Amino acid sequence: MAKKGFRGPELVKEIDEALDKGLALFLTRTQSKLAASSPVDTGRLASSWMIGRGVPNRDAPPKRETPGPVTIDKYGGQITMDSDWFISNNLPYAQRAAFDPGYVGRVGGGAGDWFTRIENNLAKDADKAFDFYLRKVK
Amino acid sequence: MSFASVRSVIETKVSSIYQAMSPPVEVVFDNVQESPPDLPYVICLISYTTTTESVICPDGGALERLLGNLQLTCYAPRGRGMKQLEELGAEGMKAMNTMFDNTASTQVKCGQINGPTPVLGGTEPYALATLSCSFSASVA
Repeated sequence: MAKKGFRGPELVKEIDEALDKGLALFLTRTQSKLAASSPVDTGRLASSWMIGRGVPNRDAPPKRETPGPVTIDKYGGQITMDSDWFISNNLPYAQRAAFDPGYVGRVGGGAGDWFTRIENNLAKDADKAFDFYLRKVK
Repeated sequence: MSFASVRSVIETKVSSIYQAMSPPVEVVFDNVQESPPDLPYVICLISYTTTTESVICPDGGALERLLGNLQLTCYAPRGRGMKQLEELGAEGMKAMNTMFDNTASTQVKCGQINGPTPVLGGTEPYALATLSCSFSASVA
């Protein structure tokens, strides 16, 4: 016999939705942090952080000869918990910019540890994002 | 709260580990020198992500809890194999893993270590490997 007032299926649906929203918040915030912290010369590196579903998104904005605005490529579809998600940067010098504090083009961004600061804080960021939506489940 | 004592604990530990190598390896710290020394060398970067945590109390302020990021980037000559980079990386891991001293007045505890991540591409005359971890610190 079902308990009176038990709303299991409804609750599961609410939790699923909260997890989807939390994941979307976590991914978009991380993408924004990476774009905001990347070293800036023309702005291409900072504009090249992409969200990919299932596989890394290998797109990259066109080459720039002069400095331009930093733009964030928003993920077009819906972000849900039913897949693996990647945030990637496909420029050949992205790895050096992320891990080499002496990188020549390091101007306008954060300190030399800008990438590892974000990397090492991911668990806390994920907690915050999921917590924000899961707290709303009543 | 003392950022200086936390920095002192970390920098002393990192420096002593690399100075104990044979031959000793120079470590460059934040805001110490503009131009890097001769290869091989290590850059040690310390930064803070948060310094307090909120408390559950109507009039509560915040509880001090220093959380930060420690990054060690090891530089070695390019094209000479991975041995030196990996040795420098291993010493860095040792420094992070043995950072905590429960008898000290300033205690620094390192979290999970990411890396060492080698960067071998590009045109620079050096190769590098970066390892990093989050840390929490408390000052008595």
